[in-house]
Amino acid sequence: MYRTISIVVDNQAGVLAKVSNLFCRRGYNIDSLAVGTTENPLLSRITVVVQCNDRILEQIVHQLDKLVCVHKVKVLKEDAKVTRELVLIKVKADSSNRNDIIQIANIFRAKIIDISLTTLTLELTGEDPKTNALLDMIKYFGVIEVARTGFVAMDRGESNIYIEE
Amino acid sequence: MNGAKLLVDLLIKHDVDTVFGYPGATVLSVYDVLNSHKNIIKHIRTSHEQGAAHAADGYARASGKTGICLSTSGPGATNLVTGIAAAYMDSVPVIFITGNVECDKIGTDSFQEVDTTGITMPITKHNHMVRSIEELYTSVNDAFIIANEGRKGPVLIDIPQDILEQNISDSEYKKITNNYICYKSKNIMTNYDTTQLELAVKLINESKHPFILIGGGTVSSKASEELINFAEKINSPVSCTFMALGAMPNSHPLFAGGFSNICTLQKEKTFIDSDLFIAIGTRFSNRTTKTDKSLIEQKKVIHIDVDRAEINKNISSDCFLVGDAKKVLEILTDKINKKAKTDLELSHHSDVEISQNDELKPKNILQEIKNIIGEEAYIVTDVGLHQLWTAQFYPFEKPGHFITSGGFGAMGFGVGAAIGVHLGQKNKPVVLITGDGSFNMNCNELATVYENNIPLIIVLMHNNSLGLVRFIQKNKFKKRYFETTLKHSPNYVMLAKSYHIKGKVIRKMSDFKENLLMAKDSMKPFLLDCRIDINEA
Repeated sequence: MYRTISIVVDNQAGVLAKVSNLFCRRGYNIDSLAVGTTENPLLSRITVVVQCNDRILEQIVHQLDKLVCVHKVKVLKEDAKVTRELVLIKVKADSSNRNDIIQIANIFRAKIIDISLTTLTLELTGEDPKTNALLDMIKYFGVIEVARTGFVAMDRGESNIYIEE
Repeated sequence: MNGAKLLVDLLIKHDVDTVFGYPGATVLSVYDVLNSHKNIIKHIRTSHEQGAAHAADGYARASGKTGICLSTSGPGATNLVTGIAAAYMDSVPVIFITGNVECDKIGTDSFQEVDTTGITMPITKHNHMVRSIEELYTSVNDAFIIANEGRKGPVLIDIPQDILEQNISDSEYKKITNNYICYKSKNIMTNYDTTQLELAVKLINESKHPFILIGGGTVSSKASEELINFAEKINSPVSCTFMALGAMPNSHPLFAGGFSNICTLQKEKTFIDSDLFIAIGTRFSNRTTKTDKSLIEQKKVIHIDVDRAEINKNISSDCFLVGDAKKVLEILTDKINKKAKTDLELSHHSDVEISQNDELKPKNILQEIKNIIGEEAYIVTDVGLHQLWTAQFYPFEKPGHFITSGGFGAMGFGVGAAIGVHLGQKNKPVVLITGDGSFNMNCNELATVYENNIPLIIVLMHNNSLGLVRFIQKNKFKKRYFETTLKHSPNYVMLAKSYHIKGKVIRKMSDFKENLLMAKDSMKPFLLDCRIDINEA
């Protein structure tokens, strides 16, 4: 089962290493990981998507909590969160199929951010079913390379990571 | 003032009077300061950094203070790794201070450079490479809190050489101390979850046959007295893990013996028939429970531990209380109802055979150590059969007197740890029980024993084998013994003599008693080379 965990950590060198080291040595599977600074320049936010059962999830949360550099750990509720990922896709495109690709991009509301005689680069922001659906459609044309940021996520509504629930 | 002086002053401020270490280029500035502070801080230079690491560990366990270990960069730091891991697995508060190359050389594969923080990340509670003198001040101060809060553990601080050698003015120093914001302790729960507490009280009151298992946390929390009151109030047998031996006195009528024994022998009825299993300060290591998780999980389980992450990690509990064992037990004992006192006829107390013949047997050796040295003795072991014999046969009456590498099982722990234990409890006798395998690993620390006049009694269970490993080969690999026989042992008495330490080969119990008494009275280190049969198990 996929779960999304938000972690607020010190914005310092080595912190990401400590967090990923923890996942690695305890054998927890990271599906995606995204990190960046927060509204407070001294703190960073790591968003991790893991695949695990409830027992392992409990372990992940409490092992993370023990790290000195970790300030807050929150497992986001699956039905009460907003999630986004950004994907760049470079696809083979020439005069014969360029229009088809552009049509598909428009249907998904993906942007075209680069063009050459033989390629098109698309940018899509979205949640999982949408991004994977676009990739599946585009595969037909010949995908050259894909770069994904991994998911960032947040509670819906008035809830936030700093409030004890 | 330079970084090195700032560091040493901080250690003194934190009541440090003993440091274990080994000098090297990157930390020579620290040694220069230590040289001029010899009357305040004693530095013990070992033969190998691993010995220093184990010594700082043993010192912390015996004294209750924070152990301090100092080494240089590169190989100096990597030589500490086993010692750091051993301290981590047994939750011992030690601060490891390592030097590193200058800031501008970091990451360029310099001489004696290594990514110390990267290597020690998984085996420390926290580690940090400081990049400025301000960070040095903060990190060292914080380290004392981090190492000792909640579940204790080792902290490593890596300091580039130029920061140790950097000079600062008095006003700069004042600025650093004024700007220091003390580390805020992590959310260590001091308010027990009241629903869980009520549930625990309910489960205990309703239970007809409770059974208690205590672990190292009980010793670390100094909760022996509270535990005994708690157990007596509900008339519950108490078993213990390796790390808790002595927290319940061996002679106490409610003491049920070591738990891994109970699991293996399946003889203790009170455990088999119990309806409530109360675990205090234990992490249910696989060494403790063997394959017996289901036997425990069948019962109602209450898990009391200071580390929230241990709850439901190995064993599922019906109720858990996160907090300091001492405080939790105090509160619980107050709230629960008293149960009638009955004679539980624990099998541990019925297994009493005292052998009278003169044969050198581990059980007799251990009993004689107790008889002759007394219950004040600190018993340090290495790892192997001798360690298991000690855990099984030595009658510990006091908590924290069994010093052993329980969680990590690091062979070679013994001599270093014994040195630390002596310095942590100067007026108490220290006995090291070791095996030939383990002793061969770090006997170089005999030099340290002699140099520091440590009156260490070494009982070497010399059976010409890696006994425990050989035992596994006997059963699992059908006696296909390979590389577990130590045929060509050194002459250990001569080896000790070369380190200026007296010793004797022992082949009979009467010899053992005589020489042990002599060793004890001599107040000097002594090695008893006890010849044990290779097939003794």
